[in-house]
Amino acid sequence: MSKIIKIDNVARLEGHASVTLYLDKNGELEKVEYLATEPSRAFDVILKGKHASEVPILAARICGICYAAHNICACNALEDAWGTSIPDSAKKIRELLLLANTLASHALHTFFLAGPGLLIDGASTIADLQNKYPKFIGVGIRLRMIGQTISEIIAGRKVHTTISAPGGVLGILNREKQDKIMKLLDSASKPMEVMQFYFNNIISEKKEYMLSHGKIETHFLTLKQGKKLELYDSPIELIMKNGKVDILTPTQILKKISEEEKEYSYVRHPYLTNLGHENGQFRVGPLARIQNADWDNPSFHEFKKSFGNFTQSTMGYNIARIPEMYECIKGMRNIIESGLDEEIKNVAHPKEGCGVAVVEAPRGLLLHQYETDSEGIVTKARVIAPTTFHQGSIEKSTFEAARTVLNGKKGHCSDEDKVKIEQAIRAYDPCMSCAGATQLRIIKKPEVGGNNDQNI
Amino acid sequence: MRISTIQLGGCSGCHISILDIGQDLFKEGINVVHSYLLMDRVTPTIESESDILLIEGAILTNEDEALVKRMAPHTKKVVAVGSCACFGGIACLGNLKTPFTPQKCDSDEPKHKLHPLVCSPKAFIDVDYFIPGCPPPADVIRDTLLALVEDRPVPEITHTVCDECDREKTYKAPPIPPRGKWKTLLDEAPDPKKCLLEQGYLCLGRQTIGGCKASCIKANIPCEGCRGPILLYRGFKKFTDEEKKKVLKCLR
Repeated sequence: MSKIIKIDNVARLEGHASVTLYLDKNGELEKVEYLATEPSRAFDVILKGKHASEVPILAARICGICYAAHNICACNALEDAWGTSIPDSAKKIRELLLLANTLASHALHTFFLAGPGLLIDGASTIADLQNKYPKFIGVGIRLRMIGQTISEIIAGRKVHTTISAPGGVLGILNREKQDKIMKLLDSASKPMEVMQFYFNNIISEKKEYMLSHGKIETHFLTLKQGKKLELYDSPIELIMKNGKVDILTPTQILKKISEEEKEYSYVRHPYLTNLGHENGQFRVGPLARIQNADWDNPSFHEFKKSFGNFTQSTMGYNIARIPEMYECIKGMRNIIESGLDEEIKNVAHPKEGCGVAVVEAPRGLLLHQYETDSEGIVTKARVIAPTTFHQGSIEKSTFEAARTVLNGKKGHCSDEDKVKIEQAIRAYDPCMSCAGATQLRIIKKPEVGGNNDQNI
Repeated sequence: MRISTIQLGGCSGCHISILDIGQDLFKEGINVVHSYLLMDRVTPTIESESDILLIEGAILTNEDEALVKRMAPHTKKVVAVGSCACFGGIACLGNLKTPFTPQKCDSDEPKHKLHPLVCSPKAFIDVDYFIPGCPPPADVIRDTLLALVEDRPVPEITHTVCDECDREKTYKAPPIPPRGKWKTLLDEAPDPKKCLLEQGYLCLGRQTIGGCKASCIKANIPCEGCRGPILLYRGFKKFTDEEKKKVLKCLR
């Protein structure tokens, strides 16, 4: 008899997702469905008909964790549509905000979402962690606070920063604020050391598990990384499985990918059109960024030493965030040292056009596309969030992880096994709120009435 | 105090704001018993009794409706955190674009199905406290939470964002620009010292519930009114002696 195992509401991720494992009569894993149960809030529908000046504010609300990336990406796309240029300082402030956001988001994932699972075997609560590793939680709170406070200094608030607007940013960063940020950055070095210590231990203890758990082979898509962490302004790099690298523009990328809608999920599955759904899966995010990077920090060298120069290890995502946090701090310091002036905003003149932009959100490549009419009213909006790109890969990784975990258990799945399977999902740091940002054409047919079976 | 948090259709931003409380959240006396974001599934969490239930997000699916109905009886106080949970928020914008047909869902058999009308949880359960904001500032959440934990009255906010803003104001009714002539984010950056409304930017600070220390306005961003209109709290108090809870219930 075949069997279905359900993991409802995968814990410790942003938003809701469930996993269904289908086993055949011998207890062998047959199929895995990753259900994004976070309902679509249909931002592409909401944004249609709005004036462009409202778009960055609404776009920030797509996600409560990578708000800065959505806010900035929306501005970039509108600027691309209208051919608006932005002053140098505005660009720097945006980059600063992205780096601060990335630091806070990575700290959240490392210390509150993925970290506990790596430190404690089996299910754990905050209280467990607080009792066993009080220092770990303390460092996590501290590092998150540094990222969030920098956002607050720049944009007035910690979450949903909406300081970017088409044509630049709205507020200047004066000397006093710069000094405050520098002070915060200086205070980060100690917690970073503690974090590095914890994760060095984790790598050396669980190396085999880290390398093999949920490992799959995919392509990678990232902004081209160089000597520093590039999140904002860099060409797109498509790294194939065999190491071949293509340089693309945002418009080209849109032409290269297709999106498939699945009956069971609220989120589409994108893939490279020419390779098909099975082989054309690609991953974004920290693991993609670190592949061809040439950063210079101890954590980066440590990562390359343990995982090799080109790695497909899914659990590597957890570790790849740490060198990035070092780079975030270094990047912010460099930006402030390079000097900021008071020219921050150009006037944007709406005209008819279509614009595409990409930025690196903490979880990976984020794409916004807008078409506006001559008055600046949005006629078409499209958002592809990093977690949307990951849907297919998460499903595959879950399959691999579940196969090893359930191997020889004859279809029995204990709570401990479930936690292990969840770890493979959590490595991607899926943000279901982002992924559910767009309206689907097909939605499981509501039985009575219902409103969303029609495409609006 | 046992605290559980749930997220309905939302962006996780309010959970992030709850986390921003920082060390106070892990203080003695506060025990997080159920939270998708903060803990692994430790058996059995969803039905476990709690003293305070924090709800984020609006009701988007039938499953969301079933979830709030299931959680609410097991808790003593329900707190709606964020504008989606208080008023419907961004998620409710979808209602403007979709024709709605009210329809009851069968809570015994929740299905992943979009709710016919996106609405805030208060449509289905009694909510005791509202903390509006997108997201509410961590300080405000902390004050409310600590007041509940220590059994003090929850601080009530009766002033507007404008009262907290320290820009130069003439307090005269600003000349209202003709339609479409308001300055927007597309124009030049506003003067950081003068009142934004008087400069011609649509700043909603005068109508919006305060408590956020006018942080956006201080960063030169016109108020978006994310904490909702003050009228509901202040306006009606002038006309009636009934207690606040009753007034709010009537307004709903």
